Amino acid sequence: MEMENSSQIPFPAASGESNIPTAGNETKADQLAETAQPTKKKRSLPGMPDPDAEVIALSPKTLLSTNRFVCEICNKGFQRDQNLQLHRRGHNLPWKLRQRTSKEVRKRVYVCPEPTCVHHDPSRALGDLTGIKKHFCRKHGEKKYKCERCSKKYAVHSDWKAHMKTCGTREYRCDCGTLFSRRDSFITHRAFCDALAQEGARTQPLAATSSGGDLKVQILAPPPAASSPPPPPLTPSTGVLSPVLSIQSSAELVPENLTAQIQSSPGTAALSSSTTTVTAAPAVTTRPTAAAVRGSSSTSTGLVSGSTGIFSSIFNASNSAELPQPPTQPASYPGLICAMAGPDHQAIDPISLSLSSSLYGSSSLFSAASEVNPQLHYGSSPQPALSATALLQKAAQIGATSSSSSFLRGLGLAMPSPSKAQDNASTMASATSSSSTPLHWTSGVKLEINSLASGLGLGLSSSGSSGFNGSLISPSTSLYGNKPTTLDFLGLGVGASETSSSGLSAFLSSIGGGLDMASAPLAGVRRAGDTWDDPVDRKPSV
Amino acid sequence: MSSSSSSQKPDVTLSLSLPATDGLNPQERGVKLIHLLLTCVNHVSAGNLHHADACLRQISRLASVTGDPMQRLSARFASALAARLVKRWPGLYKALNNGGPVSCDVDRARSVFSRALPCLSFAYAVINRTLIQAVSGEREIHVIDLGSGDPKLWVPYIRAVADNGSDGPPCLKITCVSRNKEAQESLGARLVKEAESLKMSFQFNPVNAGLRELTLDMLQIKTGEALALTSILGLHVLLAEDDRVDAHFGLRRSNEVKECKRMNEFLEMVKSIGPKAMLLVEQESNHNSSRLVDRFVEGLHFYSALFDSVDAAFGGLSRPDRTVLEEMLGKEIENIVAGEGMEREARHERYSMWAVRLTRAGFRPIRLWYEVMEEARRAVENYGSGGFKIASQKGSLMICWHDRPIYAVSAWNCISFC
Repeated sequence: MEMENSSQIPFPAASGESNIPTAGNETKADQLAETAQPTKKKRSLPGMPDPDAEVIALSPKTLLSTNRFVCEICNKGFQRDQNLQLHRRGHNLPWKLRQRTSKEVRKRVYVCPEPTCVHHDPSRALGDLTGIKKHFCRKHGEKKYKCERCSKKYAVHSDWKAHMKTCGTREYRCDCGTLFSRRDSFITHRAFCDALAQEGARTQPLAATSSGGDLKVQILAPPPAASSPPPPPLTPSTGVLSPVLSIQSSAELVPENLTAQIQSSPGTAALSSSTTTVTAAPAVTTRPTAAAVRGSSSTSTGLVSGSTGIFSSIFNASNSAELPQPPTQPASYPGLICAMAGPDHQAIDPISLSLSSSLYGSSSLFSAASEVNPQLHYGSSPQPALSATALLQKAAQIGATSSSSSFLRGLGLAMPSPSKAQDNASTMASATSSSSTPLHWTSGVKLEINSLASGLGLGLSSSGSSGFNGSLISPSTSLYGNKPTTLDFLGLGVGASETSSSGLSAFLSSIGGGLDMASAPLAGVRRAGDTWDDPVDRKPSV
Repeated sequence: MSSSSSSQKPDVTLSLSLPATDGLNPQERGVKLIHLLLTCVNHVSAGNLHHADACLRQISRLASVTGDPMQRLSARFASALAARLVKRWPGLYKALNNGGPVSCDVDRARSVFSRALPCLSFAYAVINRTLIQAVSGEREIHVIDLGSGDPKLWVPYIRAVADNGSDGPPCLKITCVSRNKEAQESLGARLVKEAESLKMSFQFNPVNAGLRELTLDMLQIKTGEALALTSILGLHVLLAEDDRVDAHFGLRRSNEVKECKRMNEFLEMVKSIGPKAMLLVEQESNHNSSRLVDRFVEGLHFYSALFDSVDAAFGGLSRPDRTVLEEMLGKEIENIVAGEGMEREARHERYSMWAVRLTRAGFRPIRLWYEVMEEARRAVENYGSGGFKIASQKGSLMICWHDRPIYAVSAWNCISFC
């Protein structure tokens, strides 16, 4: 095998005795010995080559070769001489294992033999033998491996294997039809996608602003999500509701952080900091067509349950912090587990994803059920962008990248001030006065409802809580024993006062939609699996 | 990417710091409305009154009943959510609504609906042809109209029957089951007049009852008659049952077809009279999930298609007719979102679920003839400014708004011993 002399390159380290080894074996052995050492080598920073490093230029044949060491008896090939020597022992042949040279270790860097390559320059040399081999294969080699699904070709076997893992598992599709497996590339693409710009231009005179707005909506969420401000400080307050409310309001921000954090570290630490007791979570999962969800949708639905499990478990957790409920239900925990164990998916906003999952779900239900119809491909309709259905589709596609996270904040859902119990009356008053303007529909009514409701909620919840818990727990299964916490917040005390008059029906109707969430934790749990033994046994949906 | 985002960052921070809704273009506003609505329904479902209220406040700033379709849709949905919240205090709700649900002019709304959108015309065309085919050759025909009472369906039908009869027109009896007495009377008068002009033996039999109270003797079936039934956007009310407890404590898969006693009884009754055909027109969307959020999201999709089609039909203009129609849709939405138990009658289900129900009850679909479909398709696709399509799915014809099916028509008869 040939070794090029690298001394022609005016590199300070080019001189040296080991620069032109006589046999390639020796170099390899040295390197092998190096790699066999327990201390891991740190990756050096790119673009800052070690001036003392030894520059090695290997020939293409060397780089591409595998199994250069061949046993003369059985012709078995080995990549390393050490391995060959060990093999020779089996044949009872004389063998010799070379020790690592006692010379001081010299950092070696490798240059690419291809003259046109940027790494041919020693200042752009790569620091790792495996690295240079892979680089050479990838860039200057023949692509021998092919992905079945997407027909993408690879020269390096490990690249191909890595691709096969992710191909088709998660896809983003832009309106223009391009498929992406990576979220960041998808977002980048959308920013400049012609199709979107055209759509904006066609339907609105202010094409620039519309597509700009679109971009704003889509792109900006990752930065805000990533750098979201810390949740508003939880000011201590004495009312029963206020800490609940303020925690809730901050809790809404927290999921943003949490779900983002979950990506990096299993969020146990983050979650435990914000939850005291994790009680039954009103995980607001949407499973409109959950059973019919197929393919990629199913993973997204799973994530919905998971993340919403966290989302709402925080609500409940904070609620339960106030009221002494035994944490009998590890209800949200499976949901949490799911989210944590869940994919390294990004923080998809549960809300939008609910939309998207139903979107995909309904379309897949439909398309799966329909027999004939090429025309029924949902989502390919050329509607003007302003139409409600197109907006819904967009909102669903935008998913987490969207505005939803920034919207949630912008929505002032996190506003601590209006949520404080004590200030409720006053803020409600001010809020009502401020919002008195555009209520196109039932004017006035809503304002009164608000103040009344808050008053009722406030007044009766504290009194009703303890008394009501008992009555709430009895009809329900122990599973839902914790429901009273959130219900009381609603002022189910109202229900309590009416219970005498109208009995169960009033109770039920006042729970009304509030207990819709009762079904929800099961939904969240289902996705997480069978870690929850509730009396009302439900099988996970397919 | 970074440059564009950094240049846009100032805009975003601006819009974040101001609670500003000004400066949002319609598209952004629409997306924001959607997110607000979804956030709100999550809060309502979880029982977070104050947060839901905050959302509603924001929504009311952006939404309007006289705006673009998304705004109108949001206004109706937000109104439904608010109604749901108020219903927690039944006294409040009743007092606000003066002791009864707010009535809207359903008749007028329905008539606007059939005029402005081709959905009903399409359904009528299919029903017309299918009925003719199903009872062709019969001399005594008895058609039972469950709840529609629309002359636009029956007048052409009478004419078609008269045309199709060999040896003169057959004897035709139409029974109209409806709670609306005036509509029945006017329909009866018109049909009788029409039949007279065609010199047909015709009988009109109004039954003033709802589907729930319908019994066989009310229908006055005679032996030897060829029977057919039509139910237009009305059969789902039979699915209403007192399932509030079930909705809270139970859980079923949302696309699982839940056995409904009343519906089964009704279908048994229908089977016992052995009709030659039962025509069913229903909304193609699942609004019968026990979970609010599921219903809400399904409803958003479905009614967004409807509102878009209404907007297209009215050319974006705001007219009293349009308001009436949207009010009717708003009432449906309110029923879906705010109603529970028996009062939630708008229990739409998708055709696939109806198919399961009917099959379980012993019905089999009748193939809707190809010529029906072609003719209907042409009519619909040329309607107005376009946007409607016809699709067929496993025994039902669906009219779609831009690939989203909205209404499904299907025909059934019962197997054996008919």
